[in-house]
Amino acid sequence: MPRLQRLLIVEDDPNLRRLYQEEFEDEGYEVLVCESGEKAIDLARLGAFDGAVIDICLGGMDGIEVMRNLLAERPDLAVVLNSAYTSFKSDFSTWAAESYVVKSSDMGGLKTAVREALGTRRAA
Amino acid sequence: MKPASSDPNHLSPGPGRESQMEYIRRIESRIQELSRLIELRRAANHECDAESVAAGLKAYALTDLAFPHGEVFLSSPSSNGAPKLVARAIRDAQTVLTSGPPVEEGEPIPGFPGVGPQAAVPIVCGEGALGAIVVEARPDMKDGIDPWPLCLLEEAARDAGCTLMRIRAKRDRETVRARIEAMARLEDAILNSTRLDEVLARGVRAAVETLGAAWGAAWVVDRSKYDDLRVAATFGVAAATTGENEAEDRLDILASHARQAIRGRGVLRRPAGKQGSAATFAAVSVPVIAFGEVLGAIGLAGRPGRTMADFGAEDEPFLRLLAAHAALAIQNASVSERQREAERRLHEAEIQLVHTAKLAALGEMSAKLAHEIRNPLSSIGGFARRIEKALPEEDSNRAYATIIARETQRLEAILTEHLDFARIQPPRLEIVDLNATVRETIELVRPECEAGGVRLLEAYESRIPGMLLDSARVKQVLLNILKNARQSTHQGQRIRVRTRAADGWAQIEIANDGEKLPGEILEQLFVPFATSKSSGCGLGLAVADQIVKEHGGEIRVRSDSEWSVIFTVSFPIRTNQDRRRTTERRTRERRRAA
Repeated sequence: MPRLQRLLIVEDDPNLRRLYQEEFEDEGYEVLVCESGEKAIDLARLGAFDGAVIDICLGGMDGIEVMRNLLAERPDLAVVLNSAYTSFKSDFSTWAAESYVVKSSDMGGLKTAVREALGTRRAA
Repeated sequence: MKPASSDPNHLSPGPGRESQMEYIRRIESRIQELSRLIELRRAANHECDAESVAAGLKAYALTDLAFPHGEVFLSSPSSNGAPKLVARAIRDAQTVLTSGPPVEEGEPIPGFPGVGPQAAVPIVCGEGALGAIVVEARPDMKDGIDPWPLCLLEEAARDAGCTLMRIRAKRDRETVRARIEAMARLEDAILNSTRLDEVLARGVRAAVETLGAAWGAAWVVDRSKYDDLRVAATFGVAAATTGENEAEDRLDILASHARQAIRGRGVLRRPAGKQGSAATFAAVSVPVIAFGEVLGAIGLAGRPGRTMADFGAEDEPFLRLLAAHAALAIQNASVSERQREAERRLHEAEIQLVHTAKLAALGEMSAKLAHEIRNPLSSIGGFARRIEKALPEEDSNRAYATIIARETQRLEAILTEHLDFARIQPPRLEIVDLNATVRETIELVRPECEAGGVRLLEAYESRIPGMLLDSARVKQVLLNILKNARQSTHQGQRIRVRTRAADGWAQIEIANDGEKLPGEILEQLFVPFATSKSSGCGLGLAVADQIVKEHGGEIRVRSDSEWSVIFTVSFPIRTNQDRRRTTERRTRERRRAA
């Protein structure tokens, strides 16, 4: 049996964190969650994961900054940015993410984005 | 007093009573003649024009001195053809006499029989002669003209000379004052009006009135029309110069005259009645020059009722001064024109800025609001879906969960539609053919237009290069404007769409001749939530505006006499090309980094 793909969720809203964790576990991923960018970077040092879903609007360091840090360590990491916030609109740095998904109660879009992102990275 | 012949003052009584009586009578007669001369002198002091002085002198010669023939010639720069006798008297400022019939003098004096002795007496004052009076005595005066009346005539001529000098000085003073006043008025116009043609009209008027011309005109060199001369102002009645030809012909002649002055860069004078030329009127033209650049010309023509019918060298300083001021006015006008243009742009920029600020503030607020709502909404809906999945199909709670999920989704859709001002997706920039984008968008509204009887006019500029744009977004913008246009047009009206490439911008112009928008709505068009329509929340054009701005472009709205609303969407061609290169470079860098 192949190793489960490990997914990091960075989300400061506790309810959404819980929802994402449950939904992605149902999808068959091993899910790690944390509420801040700083913790995400710590976790990245402790152990490997294959992909990350990062909320852009976080309490401290913002999601784009987190992504930049993570990608600096692990350029092959599949990152999906997820936000309800739209202030990053013209920030080209978001292009480094595999995709960007707007928060929605319908998780279909996010799930597809994660699946595709991990698939692309594995292929690459 | 030195008459040319023997001393006329010499009177001596002869012997005997009778001759003594005769002596007394002659003395009395002389006293009378002298008192008449004094009277004439007194009268001359009140004369104020040269013609009256000349007439007074002539009347004195004919009446008091009983010369059968007399004529006065006043010298002027243009006086030509004075009889030789007169010319000599004027030249030498000396009385010239002929002893008998003046055959040897060659030239007859008009109106004189030329049979008796003649005398030309200069009208002098100080050094030079201002003219002369010529008289002819009866033919029986074989010994020439009597010295005594000649002496009186000389005295009278001298008086006339002084009066003429006084009149001339007074006229000169008046001329100078009039010119200074004219300059002051012109100066005032230059300083108080920024309208060039108005200032030039005053200048021409000042020139015409001050120099006594029949009419005048000012021309300005029109750089946009092959440096042709544009008539900026005229004053006076052109036809009055001759009364024969059309005013336009006069203007043409004077304009060609002005052109010659411009080419020669100096004052050009043309005397009246020049033979072999169409110009039968006196004319003068002076170029208007500033910093070595010819800006135009001022020309005057015709001098009705003037003794000196031609424009003389004495008029030149005033004309040059006038031209210098006209040059100032033209310079001034072009500076104020530039200033007005700059102010207009500034005003536009300010409006744009306020608009941007409003939009930015609102955009920020609504984005924040959208974010605040969307987070809890996502978890509500997300968990509702989980409940929905977890419950068996027959459980009525499952239906409730379905309702929660569906309603949350509806709320999300509303957020997306109305509050997500900012772009949700990163721009999908690709090189697109702008014309094709426009065509594709038009196809979307064509059926609706055809159904409503609204005509679609299209024109495409083929020289627009490929542009780096998010064509879906641009289509959204165009569709928005086209829909607006469709909504304000009715049966038989038109929507015109055309593309253009101008001054580094690729432009799409969408105009319609439907309902006119009131000015305040035009201004509010891009302010979110302002709408003239009863339905809709008015975000459409604000979003369109933002999308275009993100492409470095702009949307403008205006109207003209034909089209009630004209939207112009402009995208910069050059910065677009730059961004195209930047994007390509960034993509390469990212690939390297990865």
